[in-house]
Amino acid sequence: MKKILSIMGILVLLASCNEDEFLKENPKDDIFAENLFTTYEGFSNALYGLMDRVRLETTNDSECFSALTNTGTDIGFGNNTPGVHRAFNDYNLLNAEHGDTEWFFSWLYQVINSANMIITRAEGDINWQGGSPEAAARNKGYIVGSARLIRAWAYRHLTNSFGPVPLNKTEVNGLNYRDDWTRAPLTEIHELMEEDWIYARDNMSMVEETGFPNSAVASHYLAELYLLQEKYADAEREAKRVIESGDYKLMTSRFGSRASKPGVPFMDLFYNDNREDGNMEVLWTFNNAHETILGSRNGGKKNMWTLYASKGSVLKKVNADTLYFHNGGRGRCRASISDSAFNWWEPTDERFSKHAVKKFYLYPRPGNPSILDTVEWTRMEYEKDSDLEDNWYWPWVRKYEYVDPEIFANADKPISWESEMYLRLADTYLILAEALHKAGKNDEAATYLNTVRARSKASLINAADVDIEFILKERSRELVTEEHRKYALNRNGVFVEWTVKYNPRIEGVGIDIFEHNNLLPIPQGVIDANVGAVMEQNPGYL
Amino acid sequence: MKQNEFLKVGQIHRRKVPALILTALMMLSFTMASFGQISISGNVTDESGEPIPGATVMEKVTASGEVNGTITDLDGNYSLSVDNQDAILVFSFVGMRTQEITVGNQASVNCSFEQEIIGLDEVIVVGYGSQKKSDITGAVVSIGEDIMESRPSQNLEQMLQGSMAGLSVTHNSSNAEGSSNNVLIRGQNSISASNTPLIIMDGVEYLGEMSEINPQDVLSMEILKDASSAAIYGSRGANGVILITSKRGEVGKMTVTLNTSFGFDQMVSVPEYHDAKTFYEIKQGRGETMTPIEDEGYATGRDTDWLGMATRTGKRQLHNLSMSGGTERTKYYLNASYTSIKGISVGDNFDRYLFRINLDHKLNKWITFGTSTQFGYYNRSGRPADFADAHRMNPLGIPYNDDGTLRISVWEDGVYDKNPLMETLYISSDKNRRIITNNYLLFEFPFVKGLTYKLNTGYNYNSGLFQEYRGRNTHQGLQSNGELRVRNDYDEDWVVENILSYSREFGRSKIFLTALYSAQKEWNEGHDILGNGYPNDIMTYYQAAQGVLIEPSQSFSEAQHLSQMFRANYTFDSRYLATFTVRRDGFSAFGDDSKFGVFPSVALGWNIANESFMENVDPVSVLKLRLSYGVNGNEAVSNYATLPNMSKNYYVNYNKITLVGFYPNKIGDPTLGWEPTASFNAGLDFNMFRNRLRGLVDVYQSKTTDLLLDKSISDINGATEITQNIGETQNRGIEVQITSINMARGAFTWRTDFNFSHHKNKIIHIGLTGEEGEYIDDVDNKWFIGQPIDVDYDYAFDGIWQTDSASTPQGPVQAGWVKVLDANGDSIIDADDRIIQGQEIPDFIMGMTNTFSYKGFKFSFFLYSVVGVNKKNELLKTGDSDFRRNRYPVPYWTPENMSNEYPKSAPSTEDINQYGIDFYRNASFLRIQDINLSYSLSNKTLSAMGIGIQHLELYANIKNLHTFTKWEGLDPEFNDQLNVPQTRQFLLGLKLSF
Repeated sequence: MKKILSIMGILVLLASCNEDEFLKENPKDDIFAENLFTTYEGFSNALYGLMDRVRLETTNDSECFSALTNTGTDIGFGNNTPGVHRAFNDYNLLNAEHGDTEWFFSWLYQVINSANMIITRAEGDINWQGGSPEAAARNKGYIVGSARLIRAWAYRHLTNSFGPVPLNKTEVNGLNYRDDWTRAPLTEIHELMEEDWIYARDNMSMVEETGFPNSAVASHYLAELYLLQEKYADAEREAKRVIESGDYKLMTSRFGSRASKPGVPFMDLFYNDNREDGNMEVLWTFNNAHETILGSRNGGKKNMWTLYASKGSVLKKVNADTLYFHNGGRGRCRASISDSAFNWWEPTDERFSKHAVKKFYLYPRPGNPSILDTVEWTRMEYEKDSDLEDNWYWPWVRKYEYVDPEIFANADKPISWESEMYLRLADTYLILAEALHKAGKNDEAATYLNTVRARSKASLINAADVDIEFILKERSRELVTEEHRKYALNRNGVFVEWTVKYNPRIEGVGIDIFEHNNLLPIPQGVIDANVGAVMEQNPGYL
Repeated sequence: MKQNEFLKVGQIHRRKVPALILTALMMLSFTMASFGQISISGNVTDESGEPIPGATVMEKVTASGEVNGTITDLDGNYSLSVDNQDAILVFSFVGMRTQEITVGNQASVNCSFEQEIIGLDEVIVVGYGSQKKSDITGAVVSIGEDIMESRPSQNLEQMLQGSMAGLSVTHNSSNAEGSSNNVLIRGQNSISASNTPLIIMDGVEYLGEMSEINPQDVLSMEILKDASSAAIYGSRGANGVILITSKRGEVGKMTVTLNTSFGFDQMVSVPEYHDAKTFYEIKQGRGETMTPIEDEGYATGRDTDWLGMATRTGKRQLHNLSMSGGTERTKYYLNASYTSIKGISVGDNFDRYLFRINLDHKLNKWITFGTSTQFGYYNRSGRPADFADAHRMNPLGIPYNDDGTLRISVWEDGVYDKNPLMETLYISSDKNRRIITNNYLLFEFPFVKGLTYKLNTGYNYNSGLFQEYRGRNTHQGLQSNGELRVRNDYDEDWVVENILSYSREFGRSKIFLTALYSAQKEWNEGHDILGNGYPNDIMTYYQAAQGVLIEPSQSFSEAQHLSQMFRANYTFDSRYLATFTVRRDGFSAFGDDSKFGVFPSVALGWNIANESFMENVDPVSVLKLRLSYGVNGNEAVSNYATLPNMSKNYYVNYNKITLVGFYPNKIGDPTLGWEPTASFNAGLDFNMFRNRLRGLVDVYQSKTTDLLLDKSISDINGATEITQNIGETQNRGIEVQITSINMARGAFTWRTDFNFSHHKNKIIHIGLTGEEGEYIDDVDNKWFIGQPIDVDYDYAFDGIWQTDSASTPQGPVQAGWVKVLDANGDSIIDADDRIIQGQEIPDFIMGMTNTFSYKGFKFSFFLYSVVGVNKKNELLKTGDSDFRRNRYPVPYWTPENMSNEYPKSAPSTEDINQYGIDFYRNASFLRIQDINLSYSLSNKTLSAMGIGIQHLELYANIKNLHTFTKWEGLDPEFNDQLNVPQTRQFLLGLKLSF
C-alpha cells in the first residue's frame, strides 16, 4: 500500500523539468512590446504609430480638436453646429460630461503613454543599428527626441486646456497602473516639457524627414513655453535659433504647383504643404495620402472650416460635384470665422484677397463650360443668433481647399486626403515678436511683424503700433484656424473678454460664457475612476 | 470484472455488472465442451412466455475448471451435461436478470427471465476511470439508453434536451445541422467567460462541434455536476463536464447492424404578417406616398410570400452501418455513417460522413492496446436567405426579373429593398475534415494486484476550408465587382496522460486510487483572403489573385495545459464512502504570476439501505446520502489576454508609402487567472418497491469568485479599462430525477422518466465600488447586485395614452402613444425609470418521458417544459421602419378601439414609442417534443425466418408535434424571432442486425 502511494506520489509530483517553459506563451500573429522594442526598426514602427495618433488632432472625423481651441473664441463660432460643439456657442452646456472634452483628454494621455513606452524602453539593451556607434547614437537620439518632443507637445495641449493635470512619465502596465492620480503643479509639468524639448532640440537635426518633428519644432515650442513663463530672453533665443538657422525662411514669392496661376505667395503655402514642394516655411507637416493608400486619414480641418455651400438657396440648384470641383470642395462648416476677425484685415492684405478668402462661387457657363461665371457671393448678414446657425453664405478661408484629383464624383464629399502644414515659421516670428514686445523691445518686435506682414502686402507698422492687441490680431490675420487660438488668448489673459467682444454668438459674461471657461472641465469619468484619491475639478465646473 | 455482452444484438448497452457472470465465459464460444455425466435439458422464456433463443446457459463451477456451457436454440431449448447434482446453472441474456438454478435431481431445468431493471448497479464512467454506481459520491447522472432510443436524431445535443436534471439545452434557432444550442450544466456562474461545459469523449477533451458526433456511436453519456465529481478536471470543471463514451466491440461473433432512416421537416408557427393588400391600405391610410411598384402590385394583386420563397420542405436521411465483435484478445467496433440534411431554409445543408474504428487488443497477458479513432467529413456548403429581411420585406415587392433571375432591389426604398433571397445566390462552400484518434496502452501489472498504468494519448486534427464568391448577380457582388472570401483553418490538439490506478479490496474496505500527470497543447492557425474587384464572375472563388483589392490576414493561437491529479475513493462495508480529489492545473494563458491553480474537493456517501437497521425496511433497496464540497475553476482567460498586444495603425511618408505603426492601447494584468467556483452539494439516491421507483434529489449552492471583468480605470493610464479577477456570483438550485415503472403486467410495461431542475443565480458584486467603498451596480451592463446575471432592464410599458396631453412625465403626447411607466414617481421620465422587468433564467425546466411497451411494440412521448422566462418580442415592437418594412399585426390602438395594449399605427414621423420600449412577454412553454413508436419482431419470428436476422425494428418519430405557449412568434425558445422558423420533423427508420 505504501509502495503504491509512493509510486503515485512520484507520478503526481513528477513536475516535468520545465513547467514554466512549457506554459510560456509565445504569440506569433501579434506584436507585443517585448518583441517590438528590440531594434531601431521596431522603435521606428512605434514612432510611426505615435505620429498617426498625433495627427488625429487634424484628421479626426469629429473635427473636435479644432473646435476645442477655436470655436467659441474671438475668431470662431459654431455654424452648422453638431451637438457636441453647441457648448462653444453657449458655454452653459460645457460640463464634465462633454464628449469631445473627454475624447481630447483621453487621447492625449494615450499619446503620452505611447511616448512613455518608447522613452522607457529605449534605455534597454537595444540594437540601434546604423552601422557605427555614432549612427546608432544618432538613431537613438532621433527616436527618443521625437517621443519626448511629442510627450511635451501633449502636455502643452493638456496644460493649456485643463491647467494643472496629472503627470505621467513612465510606461503604464498591469502592475503600476494607478487610481490615485493627483494634479501636478504647472511648474512641475512645465519643467518636464522644457527638459523634453531641450533633449529633442539637442538630439535631433533642424530638418528631419517630412512628416516628423525636428529640432526646429522643439525650439519653437520652447520659445512659446518660455514666453508663457515670462522668460523672454530664453524665448527670444529659441525663436531666433529657428529663424536664423537658415534652414527655414518665410516664403515671400510665388512657388510650387500653382506658381504660374493667379494667386499670392501666402496661399502657395497651403497648396504646397511640404518642404519637398519648395515650402521652406513649414516646420512640421502631418502626412496624409489618398484614400486608396493604407495610412490615409480624412482631414478634419476642411470639414471644420469650409462651407457646405450647396445648402444655400442658389447653389442648391446647380450640380453639386461641378460646383465643388470649381470652388475648393465641400466642407461641413462646423465652424465659421467671426465677422470681427474678417474685419481685422486691411482690404489690401493678400491674406484677405479673393485667393485667400472665399468671396464668390464660380460655375461653368451653360453652353460654354470653359468660362466660369460668378453665380453667388458670400456675405456676412445676420440679425439674430439663429441667423448664424446653418448660415450657408458665410465667407471662409481657403486654406483647406481640396478636391479629389482622381475621382470627380468625390467633389461633393466632405473629404480631404492632403497633408497638413501643422506648424510654420510665421508662427515662430509672431512668438518672437510677442516675446520681444513683452521684453520691451518694440522696435525689434515691429521688424519681425513687418517681415510677416510685408509678405502679404499689409501696411508696415512702427514700434508704437506694437501692443498685445495688435499681436493677437496679427496672429489671427496670419494664422487664423491654424493656431490654437484659445492658448494665445489665455496666455495674455483675454480669452473671455475677447470672446465676448468679438464672437457674434456669445452675448456676455454670466449669460453664455463664464470666467472659468478659459479652461475645460476635467472629464467626470476621469474623476470617477480615480477612486484612490480626489481629483479636483476645475473651478466653476460642477 | 469484465462485463459480458455475449451475443449482443445491436442494442445500445449500459455497462453492467451482472455480478456473477464469469469472465471465463468469454471463451465459451471457442471451447464448447461437455465433460459431465448428468444430462440436463430445458426451455428458456421471457416474462410473457416467449422463448428466448441465444440465451447462455453455463455451469457455474466445474470440477475440472474447464468452461462448460451452451446456448439456447431457436425455440429457447437447450441441453447440457453436468458433473453432478450440486451443479448450478447460470442463465443469462442481455437485458434480463441473470438467474442461477441448482440442478438437484431435475432432468429438466426451465428458466423464465425477468427483465432486468437498468441502473441498479451500472458501472458509471467518472473520468479517468469508472465506478460502480453504488460507490459514487458525487452528483453524476447518466442518460438512459431508452431515452436516447426514443428520440432518434442526428444531433446529440438535441437528444439531451430535457433528459437529465441539471442539464439545460436551449435550442436557439433552427438550422439543418441542429447545432444552434446552448448547453449549460447547472446554469451560469460566470458573467463574461464561457459557461459551456467541458466535453470529454473517450477520455480526451472533445474539441469539435457536438453535432459532428454520430449519436449511434455513443454508448453512454454522463454528466458530472458537482464540485467533487468534476474536480478531476480542475480549472476546467466549474461549468460541469459531459463524458461521452463510444461503443466498443464485445467478445462474440460479428454483429452487423444497419440503421437507416428518412424524414422530412416542415415549418411551424410562422407569424402571419400583413398581406400585401392590408399592408398597402394601412400605409396609404397613414397618408404616405406609395411608390410605383407598390401601386402596380396593389392593382395587380401581387402578394409576395418572401418567407415561402426562402423555405422548403426539409429532408433528412441517416444511414448507419456497424460491425462489432471480437475475441478475448481483440475486440472491434467499426461504424460508417452518412447523414444528409436539407434544412427548411433554401441553401441550408448539412452532410456528415463518419468512419469510426474502436479496437482493443491484448498484446500479452498484461498489456492492452486500444484505439478510438474517427474520421469525419462535414459539408456545410450553401447560404440561406436573409431571414430578417424575408420576414419583413414589403409584400408588394417584386422578387424576380422577367427572365427569372432574382431582382437585386425589389422595390423603391434604397435601404429596405434588397432582395432577401440574394444570399442564396452566393457560391459558397464550407467543408471540414476532422481526425480524432485516441490511443492507449494499459498495463495491468501482474506483480501488484489491482495496479494499472494507462498511457492515454489523444490527437485531434481539423482542417476547415471556407470559400465564397458573391457574383455580380448579388447586391454585394454588384457593389464591389465580385467579392471573394477564402478561409483556411487548422486546429491541432494533442494530449498525453499518465494514469496510475490502484483498486483493491481489503476485507470490508475497498480502495480505488487514481493519479494523473498530463500535458496538452492546442494549436490553431487561420489564413483568410478577402478580395473584391474581379474582372468577371467566371472563376468564382478560384480567382483570388485577380482582385483589385486583396486583403489577406492570418491568425495564430497556441495554448498549453499541464495537470496533475490525485483521487482517492474509499468504501467501507458498502456503507460508508469517501472521495478526496485534488488537481493542480497550469495553463499558458494565465498571467505570469498565477500560472498554476490547485483545486481540492471532498465527498462523503452513506448507503443507508445497507445498514442493518434498514434490513427490515423492505420497500427500500437503495438509499444513499451524498455530500460534497470542493472548488473548481473556469479557465476564463483567453489566450494572450494577459499580454498587452500593440494595436496596429498606419502612417505614410512624404512619398505616400505606407508606414506600419504600433501603439499600446491596452494593459494586461499578469495576475489574471481562473474563476474559482466553490460549491456544496447534497444528494439522495433512492430505489424503492423492488426498484420500480428510482430517483435522486440534489440540492446545491455555489459561489464563484474572482470573476473576469473589465474594470474601468482612469484614462490617465493610457487605457480605459483592464481585465481583472473581480466580482462574485452565487448559484443555488435543486434537481429531481425519477424513474418509475408504473405498470408491469405480463408483457406490458409503462414507465415514466421525469426530471425537474430549478436554479437561481445572483450577482454578489462586480468589483465596482461607490464613494463609501460599498459595492455598486453596473447599470450599463445590466448587472445588479442581488439580481440574476441576465435580467431585462429597461423602461417599462405602462399602457397607452388615451387622450392628447400637453404635459406628462414624458412630455407632450398624443392619444395612442406608448405610456412609459414613471417608476420612481418623480413625474419625469428619465434613465432612473428603467426597471428590472423579468429574468432570462427560467424558474424551472421539466422533462417527462412516458414509455409503453407491449411485446415488440414500444410507444413513448416526451414532454418538455420551460417555465418562468421573460423575453422581449421584437415582432411586437413598433419601429420607425414600420411600413417601409412589413410588420406583425397587433391590435393597434384606434379611436374606436382604445386598447391599452399596443400603440396606434402611425407614420414613422410620429413618435408613438418615444422611448423605444420593448414588449416583454412570458416565453414559458410546454412542448410535445418527441413521439416515438417502434416495433421489433420477436426473436421467435426472426428465428423462424431463418435468414440470420437477429433484430429487426421499425420506428417512427415525430418531433415538436405541438407547443403550448402564450408566446406569439416563431418559438418561445428562440433567441431571435426574425429568423428561420421552427420545424416539425417526421422520421421513419429501420434497424436491422444479423
